[in-house]
Amino acid sequence: MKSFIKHSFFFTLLIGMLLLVGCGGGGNSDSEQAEEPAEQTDVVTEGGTLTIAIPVDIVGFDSAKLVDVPTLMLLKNICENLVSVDFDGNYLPQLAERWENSEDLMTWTFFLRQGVKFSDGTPFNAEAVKFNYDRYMDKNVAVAWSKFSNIEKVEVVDEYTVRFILSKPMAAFIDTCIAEHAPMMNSPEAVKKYGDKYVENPVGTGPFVLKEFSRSQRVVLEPNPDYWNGSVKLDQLIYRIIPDTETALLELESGGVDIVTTIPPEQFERLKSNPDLNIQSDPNHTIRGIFFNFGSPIVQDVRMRQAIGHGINVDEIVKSLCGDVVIRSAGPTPVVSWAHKKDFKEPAYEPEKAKQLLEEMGWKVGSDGIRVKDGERLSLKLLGSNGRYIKDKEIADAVQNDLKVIGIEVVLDIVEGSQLWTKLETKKGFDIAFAGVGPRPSTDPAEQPISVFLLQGASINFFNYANPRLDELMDEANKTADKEQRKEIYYQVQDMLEEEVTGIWMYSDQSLAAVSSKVKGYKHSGSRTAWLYNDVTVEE
Amino acid sequence: MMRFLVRRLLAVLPTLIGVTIIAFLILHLTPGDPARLIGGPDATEADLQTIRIQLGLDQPLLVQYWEFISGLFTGDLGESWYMRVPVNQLISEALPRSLELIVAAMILATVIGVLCGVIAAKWRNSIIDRLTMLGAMVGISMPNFWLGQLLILWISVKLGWLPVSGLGDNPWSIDGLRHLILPAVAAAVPSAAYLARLTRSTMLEIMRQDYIRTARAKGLAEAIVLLKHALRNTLIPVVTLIGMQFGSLLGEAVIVETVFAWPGLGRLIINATFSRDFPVVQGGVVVIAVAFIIINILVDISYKFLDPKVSLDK
Repeated sequence: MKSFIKHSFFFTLLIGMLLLVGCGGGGNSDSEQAEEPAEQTDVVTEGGTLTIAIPVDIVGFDSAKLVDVPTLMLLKNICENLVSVDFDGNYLPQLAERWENSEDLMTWTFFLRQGVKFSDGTPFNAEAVKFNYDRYMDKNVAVAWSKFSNIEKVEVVDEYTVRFILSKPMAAFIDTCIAEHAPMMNSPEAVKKYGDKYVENPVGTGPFVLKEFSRSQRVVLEPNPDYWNGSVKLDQLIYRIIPDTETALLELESGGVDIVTTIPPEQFERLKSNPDLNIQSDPNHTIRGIFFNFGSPIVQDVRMRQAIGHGINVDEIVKSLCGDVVIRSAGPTPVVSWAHKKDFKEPAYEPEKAKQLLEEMGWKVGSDGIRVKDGERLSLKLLGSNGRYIKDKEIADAVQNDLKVIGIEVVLDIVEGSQLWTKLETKKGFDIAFAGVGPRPSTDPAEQPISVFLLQGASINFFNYANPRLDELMDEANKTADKEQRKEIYYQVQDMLEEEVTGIWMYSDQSLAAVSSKVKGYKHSGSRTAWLYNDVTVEE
Repeated sequence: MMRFLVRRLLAVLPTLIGVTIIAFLILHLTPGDPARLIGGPDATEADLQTIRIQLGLDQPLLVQYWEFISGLFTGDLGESWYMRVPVNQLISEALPRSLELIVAAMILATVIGVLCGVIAAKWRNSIIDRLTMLGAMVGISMPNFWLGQLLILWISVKLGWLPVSGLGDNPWSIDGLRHLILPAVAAAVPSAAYLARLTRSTMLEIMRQDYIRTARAKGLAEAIVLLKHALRNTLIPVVTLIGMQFGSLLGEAVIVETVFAWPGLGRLIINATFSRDFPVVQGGVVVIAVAFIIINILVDISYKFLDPKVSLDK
């Protein structure tokens, strides 16, 4: 026995582990390290450290080379845009104080804030704006260069005035300044100095500067001592990369993080009832639903599309699968869009009416319950994803079940989330698809599903929809800056889409956040991305 | 020994080439357009074509494969399409973290697994044996993401003994080691279970040998018989399994890395797979293949020390 103990070094290991467990405090991890006072900045604040969990890796900090939305949202703490949006979706002047447009909507002039500096001390001015826009429009540098293909030229009028000359009228040009891919103002000197390494060394005018970037672990931001718009109260702002949502929520409950923005529907009620947490929500500018592929012969007849609409119990599906995490939304514009038609009529859930329509079309119920016509089974291929949208796979299953009741066989083609758009791009191989667009910070219908999915020639018109009258109306709306006039036109468009039954619109996402009660002054937003943390403090 | 090493290294070259071909082909033939994922949902066909040309995706497959292979010879694994940094940099950041986790897990697994196997063999058919093997069965059956979540819930959240997730500030500090414990345990449990079962069954066979009966007859203490005579001969298949487990953990640790937000190589490769970041996936797969090969060579060398009758040069 003596020799057993003598040889058994595992006891030593066990004792060592117990000692380690005894050392230090409780379950806090990186936030313990982050609460050390910031030593290397002259800014003295006592706002504490805010730690936010994000589920995806931050890929780098050169905004021109990014389309990754979480990274761009983080970057908005370091680099600013000319214009942003407030909590109500209205334009919020940021680095531009004001702007004006020519009557023909082809010339836009921005008057910039004066006396603003980048965090490397160099001045922000019209030359810097031109430098950044030229970079964003350079296909050898930027990935989203074609978004700015309407900009013919960027002119420096004087030190604080910059002018954009467009190649065609664009009523919603300001929205290109607020979109998630909108050009952010990076310091030209820093871009030139760091070259390819700028992707790890961003320099902007924003309220924070980058202190530490540990890939796949965390990003630590500190207050910008030369910030032009007042002072930030926080000592540090930390983004921790925690890919697993359950782990992130456990970190929140143990105090390791203060905010989590990915909340699974099934956890929503439990988190709401936790007295140490506040659940904040704000509608996103998104829309998800079933889209018809107008290239498929089987859905050409509007009666078929109506029958499908009458056969799907959308209210029940959204309520039971998604609960309060989403907002039930009918129509092709998100609920929060100023052009949303509140009384948009879509086919109500009436299975008997669906059956009647199908009978009228000659589809008779076969021996196995699936309708048949001229020897052909009524079978639809539904293209969907798993994990791209909230409950996407479950919704596809529910649609399959509902349509079976009215005699339509649905064959599911469910692909991994990142593959969905690749398959949609082929524009064939499916009859209906569960898809969506957004979130987008812009409330302008020019950025919404009507424009991106349904316009002929739109880059992501995956559904072979072609309606010249729709294109005319959308073009007309783009040529006037009068919002009321545009709204009227968009209502006409929606009336047309009501009749055509181009889709079965289901829900808009909400941007959700579970926030620790220690956090004060934070307001979560589905649209606003700028200055979210300027007034936030965290109690010890 | 030198001849053995040279022979083995030459023999693995075809294996490595095979791995690169399979990795390359699987990536390129899997659905999903890297250009679309890089350009974003609104990218036009013109955008996508520009991106494809920049990434070399418009080239024939053979040309793309040659670019990849010729880069390997010079140690250049290319640049991440998504993160715009050298793949070497990404792997050199992620690999040490994976190794830290896997080494810790294998130490735990080996100590616990072998010890439990020895105990179970010594007290064969007793309650100790049955409980140990039941524990091994549970360890093999339980998914390690579930085990990970349970550990976090009980040890970190309810008891507050250890951190929930992450790497800590410095892996060599007490804080870093505290962060390592739970993920190492979650990764170790299945391996420990397999090792316990193998150790038990091999030891039972060894214990039936004549030389063991002789050792007992000579009056040696039971601990000496077990640990000095029986265990040493048990270790040859056990070391083989340890080598295999080590190699497979390099890839399988992604689940533990995800649950515990541990920024290792597995997570890097999985994220790169989802974003169709081919250079990162290809580079990561090659690194894992090389690591597997090195581990197997080390396992073969260890036989020489465990059993002097083994000759490496034959």
